[in-house]
Amino acid sequence: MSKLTPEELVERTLDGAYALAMQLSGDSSDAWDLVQESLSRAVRALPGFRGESDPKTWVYRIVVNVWKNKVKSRAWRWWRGLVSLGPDLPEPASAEPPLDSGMQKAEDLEALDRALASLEPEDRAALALRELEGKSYSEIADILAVPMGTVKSRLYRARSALARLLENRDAA
Amino acid sequence: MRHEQLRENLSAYLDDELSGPEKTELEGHLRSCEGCRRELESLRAASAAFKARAKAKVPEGLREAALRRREPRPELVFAVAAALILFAFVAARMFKPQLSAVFNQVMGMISGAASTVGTAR
Repeated sequence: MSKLTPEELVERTLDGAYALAMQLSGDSSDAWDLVQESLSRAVRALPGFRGESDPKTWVYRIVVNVWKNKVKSRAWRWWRGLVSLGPDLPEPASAEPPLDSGMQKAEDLEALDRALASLEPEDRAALALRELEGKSYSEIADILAVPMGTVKSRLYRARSALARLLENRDAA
Repeated sequence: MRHEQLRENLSAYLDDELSGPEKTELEGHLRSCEGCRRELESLRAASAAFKARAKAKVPEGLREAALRRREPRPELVFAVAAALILFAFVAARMFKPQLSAVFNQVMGMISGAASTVGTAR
């Protein structure tokens, strides 16, 4: 049985869960709902969590499952179609572009956001789990419930799309 | 291995997720293929750009909200209650004659049953 308290669980997993939810939903309001529902479920299920896997992996799997159920729901799709004007831009941790990113101008950031928005949510999620959380391919496969080969191809596809954008920007 | 497959392995190479033989083959290829070396650098830059942009700041209040039991939003409860009251009002207006008939029928049955019980005594 788990010895984690609900507070410790939320403390450990919130940042990663929110980053993942942002990439899956593409919208800060939806990400809020997704994280709140997922963590509430995780807290309720915590007494039965045996600690065999990393709590982060466990929680991220819940986030992905809750998101999949929402996407499957017809009402959700209808609502998204009604209110969405395209995916919301991810909220950066800082308003200033990081110096080492090579993305200096506002239009560069907008172009990057557009490129990110054009990726499949699962591709963005795989990228977030790898780049922000440092998860291995096997852990990402476990969280997204896909084969490892799919994780490999998703990461390649997502990085290639972003790389083409950066190249076009440099060529312009 | 075909060139296209080698190229697809570049991303996994960055993540150190290739098997020993795959890694050896790709490194051998990289020594002779300038295009793949450039692609590797492009993928590396893409990863850095994503990492810098996608770090999301957790909104204030979400930590507390995640620990709180999920309850219906007050505005949602109010909207549902208002809709139910409105529905009941409209239904009552629309079906008033039928409701009166049903009411009279039920009352008739009750008084009939009461008088039957009275007669039996």
